[in-house]
Amino acid sequence: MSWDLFNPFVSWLGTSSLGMWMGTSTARIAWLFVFHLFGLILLMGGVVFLSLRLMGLVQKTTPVAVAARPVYPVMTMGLVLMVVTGGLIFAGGAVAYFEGQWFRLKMLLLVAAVVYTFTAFRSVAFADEGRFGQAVNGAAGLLALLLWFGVAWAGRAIAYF
Amino acid sequence: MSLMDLARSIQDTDLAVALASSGYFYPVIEGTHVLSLALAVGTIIWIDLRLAGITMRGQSFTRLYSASMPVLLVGFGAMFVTGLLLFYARAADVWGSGYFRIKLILLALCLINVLVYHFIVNRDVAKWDTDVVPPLKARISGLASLVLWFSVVTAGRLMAYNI
Repeated sequence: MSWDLFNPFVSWLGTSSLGMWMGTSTARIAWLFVFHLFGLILLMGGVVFLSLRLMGLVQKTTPVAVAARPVYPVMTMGLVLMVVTGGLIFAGGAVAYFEGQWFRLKMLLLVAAVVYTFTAFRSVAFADEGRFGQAVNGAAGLLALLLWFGVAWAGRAIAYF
Repeated sequence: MSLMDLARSIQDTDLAVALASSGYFYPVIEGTHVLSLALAVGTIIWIDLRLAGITMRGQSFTRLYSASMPVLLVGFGAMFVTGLLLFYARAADVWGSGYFRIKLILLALCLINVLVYHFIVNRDVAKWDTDVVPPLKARISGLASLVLWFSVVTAGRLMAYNI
């Protein structure tokens, strides 16, 4: 895949009136980061909770699907909040963000994490009790933790490197 | 000596100068501080949402509470240790931030809320452990915790633009 394919869109976004408006106010960006973190708490809190349950480390007496049911909508709300605020933050410095290696790594991990969370991970989390063994459940939970903490860490790295 | 003088003398120690100027300090310590949010606040919201009667309705509260506790302790432990280090490295700059002072007040309110929970709300938990909607005092406790922790995060994030 060539990242250059996105260049026309990125430069259009960066110079659009939305991009210019976002880029001109530190306070606006600061508050977007606040809500970006709120999204992280909703999303990653659910990921941690559910993954640890799948790994058999917490709430062993509650069936996985029962634990998962209330968690998924909140995780999804967190993800939507992160994508919307993240998209606006990106618009405020699109070309510069897009050039960054950590940003690109974050986007790759994000796509992998989202696809995984709403396909394989979801199937395991909502499976009838006992359909998958503890090894499959544990591996599914561990992979979710690695992917989402990878996304979060790459996101932090954009700020530092 | 004022608190600001004290903060200044901390920031001027060799260790603080070495920490603040190390290329690894912010990526590792601040990065851990932010990512620990997932464990700390990310976990406490489930206790709060259950207390407030918003989600996980009818599931045993005490079971959720005891299952969450180890994760919470690791998360808040990591936040506290990394937070102290972040303060130590730039004590005077941080103390000079209005958002930091707001954050301290909010953290004190969080502590009070925890104490109220333990000594008042939690006392008859056996009676409402699996209630779909917990009693009013539990709902207030849960909502207060949610509002307070999200406010702590807000003050903490805005600090970054202020020091």
